[in-house]
Amino acid sequence: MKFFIKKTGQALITVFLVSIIVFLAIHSTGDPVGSLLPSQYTEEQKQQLTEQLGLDRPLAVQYLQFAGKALQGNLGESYISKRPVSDMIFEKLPYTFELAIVSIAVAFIITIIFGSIAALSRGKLPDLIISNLSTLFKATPIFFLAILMVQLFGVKWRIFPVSGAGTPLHLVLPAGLLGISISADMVMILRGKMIEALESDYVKFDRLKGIPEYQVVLKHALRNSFSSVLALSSFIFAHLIAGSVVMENVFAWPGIGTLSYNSVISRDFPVVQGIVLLLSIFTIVLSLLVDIFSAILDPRIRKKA
Amino acid sequence: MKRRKFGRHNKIPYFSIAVIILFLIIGVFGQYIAPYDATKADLSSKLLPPAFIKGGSSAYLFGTDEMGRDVLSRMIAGGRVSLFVSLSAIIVGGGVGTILGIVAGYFGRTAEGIISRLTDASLAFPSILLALLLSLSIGPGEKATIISIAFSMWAKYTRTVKSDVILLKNTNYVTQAKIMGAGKLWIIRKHILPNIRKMLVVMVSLEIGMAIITEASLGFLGLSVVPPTPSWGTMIADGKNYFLTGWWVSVFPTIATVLTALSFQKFGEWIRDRRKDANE
Repeated sequence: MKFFIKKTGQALITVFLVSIIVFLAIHSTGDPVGSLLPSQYTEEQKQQLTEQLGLDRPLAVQYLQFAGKALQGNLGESYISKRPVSDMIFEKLPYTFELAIVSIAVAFIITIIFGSIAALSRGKLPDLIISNLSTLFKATPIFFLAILMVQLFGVKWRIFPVSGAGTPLHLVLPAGLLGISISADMVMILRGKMIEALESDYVKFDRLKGIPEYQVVLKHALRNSFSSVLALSSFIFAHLIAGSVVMENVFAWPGIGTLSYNSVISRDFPVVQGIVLLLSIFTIVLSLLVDIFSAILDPRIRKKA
Repeated sequence: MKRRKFGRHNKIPYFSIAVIILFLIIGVFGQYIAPYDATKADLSSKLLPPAFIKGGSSAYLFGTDEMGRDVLSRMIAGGRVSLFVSLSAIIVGGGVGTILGIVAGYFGRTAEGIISRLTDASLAFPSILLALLLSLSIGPGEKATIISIAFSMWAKYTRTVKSDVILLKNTNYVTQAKIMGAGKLWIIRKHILPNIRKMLVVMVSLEIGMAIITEASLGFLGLSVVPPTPSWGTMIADGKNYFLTGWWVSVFPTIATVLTALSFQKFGEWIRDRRKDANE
């Protein structure tokens, strides 16, 4: 129990720190007032708008107001569209979740299949091909592959739609590419862990007991190794966000990535603040859940902490 | 850990080293090598194919882009940006990360608590969003790119260095140095730093490739250098609209990015495996 309280406490502190980073980073991005006013403005208009937006008060006060409202789920209003930020985000969220979930599923499937094949054929041809391909994908900028796909499948052969969302066909290219790009790291991690597992005593013991090889691999080696891939959840998630901003940009996907990109370009402070805050909290909660989950599964982790 | 079966990583990666050296030469002396001015447009010779395919001219080895600028010269200038940005980001991010890691690992307690929360916060923070923010706050350009890449990597150094320092702190020779009456800074300089140095070299060479790709991604999103200064990422982005008529505009910078990133990766893996073997 002490473990869970401690972990939750740490997560709360992290959320607090992230909110300060977000708040400060956005407020160092210069004065939004200038870009919001018409090109010919008077000093008076400027002052009025500054007061209206609360930008004249001390930073600490502004932060407390922001945090207090955020706790009630109020992330402020967009400077541009004048709509509540939370509405704007939640409108786009399903699209990003759709892309993210399918990409993660693709990544997990690729990881399990190719990671296992590489580990089982260690040092042989399939392993060499998979390992080298994974290194190659890690070094290839994902947006170049995206452009290539758009040109080939979208413009030249017209097999898949390459802009917008809505049908499963729209998902094939962006989610497929994002999944492959995320799995490049995971395949190699699973491979390493699985090679360790296959040489461990419990796998040797399973074999001595006469358990069929496929069961040894699937039930014992894979299961034990996969948990170490899951432990990288926050890393995977960060990769996913970075990838989806780029992917949404290339494929004109109407999700959070496009929204955040457009909001930064138009200096819409509250929207960016809301997105970054929400995504970071999401990552923190996710890794807390993974920590708790793995502690429930494995009591040794609870003792160690 | 057992050695890999064929030990193929213990072969000296001559090709990678050659690519890295070429990259360094281009980065430092590029402006003297480049055949043309990377930013000079010449609309009379736009989208010329590379010299080795039909219609190409030997004057433009890798062809020209949509504004008639020489692709090879732009790649050379872009290479300088890649080298400068990735090295600076690593020096800043790795430096800050290492110092914080030593402080957290060696002094423990409160320092470790605070620094661990900071690394958690930084790892939870989507680095691409920070890049978007920073390129606005200090304006897009090399400085913003360097800071955002550095910010996205310091926490990794802190974590790795911290766990190494904790192990080192409890070794016999550090304990004996303490008994001898050595000061903390002396122990850090004499025992801790030399021992984490090799691990840092491995991390740095593995990360340079990542930094180059991150720079290219930011360039692609229009957040890195300001046009007309070329970077590999912005060149790939420029070429995306002419892909079917002028694939060379984005394909050559992509090849340069992949080759460089791959070479640093292979080089880093080689040092890592060599170090592992030496420890056995």
